[in-house]
Amino acid sequence: MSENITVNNQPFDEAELSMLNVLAGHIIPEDSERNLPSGSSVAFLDSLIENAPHTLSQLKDELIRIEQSTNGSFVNLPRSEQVQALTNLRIEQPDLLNRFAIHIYSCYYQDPRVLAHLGMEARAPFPKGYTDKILRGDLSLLDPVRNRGPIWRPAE
Amino acid sequence: MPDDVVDVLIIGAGASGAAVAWSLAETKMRIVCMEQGDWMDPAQYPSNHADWEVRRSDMHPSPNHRSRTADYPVNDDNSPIAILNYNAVGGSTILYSAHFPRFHPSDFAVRSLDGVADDWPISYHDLEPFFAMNDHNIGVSGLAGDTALPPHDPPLKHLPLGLMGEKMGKGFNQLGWHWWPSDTAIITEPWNGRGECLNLGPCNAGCAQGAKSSADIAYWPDAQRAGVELRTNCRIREITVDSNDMATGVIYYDADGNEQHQRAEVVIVACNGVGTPRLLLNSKSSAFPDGLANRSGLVGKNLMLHPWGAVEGTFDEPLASHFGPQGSCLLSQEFYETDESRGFVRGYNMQITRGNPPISTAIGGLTSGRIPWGKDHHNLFEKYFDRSVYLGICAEDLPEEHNEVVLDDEQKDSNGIPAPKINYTLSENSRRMLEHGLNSGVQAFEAAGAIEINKAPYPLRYAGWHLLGTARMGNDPERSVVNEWGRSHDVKNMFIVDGSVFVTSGGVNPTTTIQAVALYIADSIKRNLANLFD
Ligand SMILES: Cc1cc2nc3c(=O)[nH]c(=O)nc-3n(C[C@H](O)[C@H](O)[C@H](O)COP(=O)(O)OP(=O)(O)OC[C@H]3O[C@@H](n4cnc5c(N)ncnc54)[C@H](O)[C@@H]3O)c2cc1C
Repeated sequence: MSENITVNNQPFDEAELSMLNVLAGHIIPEDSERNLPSGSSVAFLDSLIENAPHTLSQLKDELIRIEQSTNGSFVNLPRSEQVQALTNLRIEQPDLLNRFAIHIYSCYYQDPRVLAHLGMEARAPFPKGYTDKILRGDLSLLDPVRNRGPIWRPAE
Repeated sequence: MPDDVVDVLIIGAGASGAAVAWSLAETKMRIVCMEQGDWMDPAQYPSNHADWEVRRSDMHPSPNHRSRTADYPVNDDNSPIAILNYNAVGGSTILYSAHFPRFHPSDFAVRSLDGVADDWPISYHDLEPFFAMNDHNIGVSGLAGDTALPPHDPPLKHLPLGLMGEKMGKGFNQLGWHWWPSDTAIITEPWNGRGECLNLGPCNAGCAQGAKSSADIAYWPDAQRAGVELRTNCRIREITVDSNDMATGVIYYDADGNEQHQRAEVVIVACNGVGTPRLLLNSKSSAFPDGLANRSGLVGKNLMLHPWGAVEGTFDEPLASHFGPQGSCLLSQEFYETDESRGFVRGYNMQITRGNPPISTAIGGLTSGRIPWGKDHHNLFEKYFDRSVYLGICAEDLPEEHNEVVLDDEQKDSNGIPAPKINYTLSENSRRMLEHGLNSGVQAFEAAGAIEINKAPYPLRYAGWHLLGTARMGNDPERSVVNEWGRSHDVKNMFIVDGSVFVTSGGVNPTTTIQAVALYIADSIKRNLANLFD
């Protein structure tokens, strides 16, 4: 693995990039029943480099750790063995990949396919807003409160 | 212009400074307001962008996290509750949730009624016309007939309850408890040239629609049109006094960091419950070696913060709970008034707030361990998203002199002015009140049918939204900083109009009461113009 050789100005080499992709798919797996994509299919890399540069060196260390635990063959293992390797590592280090996971969550829940599944459009809230989403509400529910009468305490 | 003397100089363009400027404008005096921040540009607010959830972090409520030039650091290491604010035209209302419940009549008479703290020198009755005036100026939405308050009629229809509001209402009904759609400073119909709320959602990051009545849009345009001059990027270092103990003006830093002096006949301080004592304590002179207007020794003392508790309830059906103004839906004031059998005096407000949007749900779930990554992610995300509702407990904080704002020995703002330091501990009364409040929250969610209920550890740290009591009002100059109409006992041409003057904190979000007090003080100034300094 050639260290820090950039692909399109990225601080990750190709092996690291393919590991990140596989890991993103473990963090949020595809769900075919719900027709939801996996974490690896959403755009996460550019914003990781741009918005979370302070997390990169820790992430690189974590990749090394994962590689070492699988004798340098993590991406080539069958999926079930990858899951097992990650589970074992997280028993020793429960916060392993948590910062990366936060980033994946944050990108995933902006993806238009995911938002559509949640009944939302991938757009700015303003100017259209969400005027049809909230019931005005049934004010007759307040009858018991009204019937009880005033509860405030006079002070004068 | 060293000899330029203005009639009235207001320091701070937030909720109270804006209200007082608007009210005094009709006198046609020459009024200048100086504000350390700048105008906000609503086109830059997060909700203009598809990635609005991520951009919300730019508007963090803690000045220590934001560290913008307009911010000053606040050393809150010695407090379980962090101080939150915003420094710009509009002040902290840029970020506020606009939950707008009024103080109750009993809040002004706690010594007479409950034998604790002190009575205010003014009453709910004195403030009533100013509450109504502020409701009109701001455009308050709500529903007449709330049984927890004397009758009042908000000018605009209430915010929608939504499915989650109905659910919580039914729960409260089952317990026989009070609840009501809350008064809100968010317009639900076009008002004074502004468009109604569109349920954009992230109110705490600024309202792009301009439906949330922050002071920059609800008060300042009218005040400026009426002739008030607003100067931004002016940070006041100290208020100056002459040998007769009269304020002469201020020394401030302009946008380029140059020291300037502005003279004034009357000075009005509106920098909030932390900014105001900081400014007074920084204004030392031979006549006031312990800080301006501080002969009582009470400037900075009796800080009240409304310790906050929170309960989350999750339901087994979608509730559209992440749409709409997050901080305002409905409230319950079942436990607002004193009942000593509960083990504490005074009481609290329960505020129902909406659930989290997608990214916050997911990341919050990851941090708490409820929505881990891996194969169960989708099931667990679905369990919480759009089905969660929050209940906030706003506990009345009684005044205690050891809870205080002092000057920090080391930290300074970008102009080198000493920063405030907070010394605050949670009282036993507050602790019991919060325990009770959290249990009430659990009961409310159980009655409403929640399938999972979680109490957050109390007091919430990032909940120092309400800054009160540090230059209290009173008739006795030995026991208070300003008189019953906001005039300093020691400096007869200086007034304080923000939450610093509060004698007690009530158990509700304070801003409607802060603005009513500011309008009342402005009215008193107008009525006493002929003998203002007697
Ligand atoms: C996140 C958040 C949510 C909130 N939600 C609610 C809510 O739902 N309901 C509610 O009632 N309240 C809420 N509040 C509180 C509310 O915003 C305040 O009560 C209100 O803004 C206080 O008004 P003020 O005029 O006292 O101070 P502020 O509005 O804070 O204004 C003070 C102004 O003075 C300026 N200033 C300070 N020092 C100087 C100086 N030396 N020189 C020049 N200018 C200076 C500051 O820059 C600031 O603009 C919330 C606050 C926050 C931060």
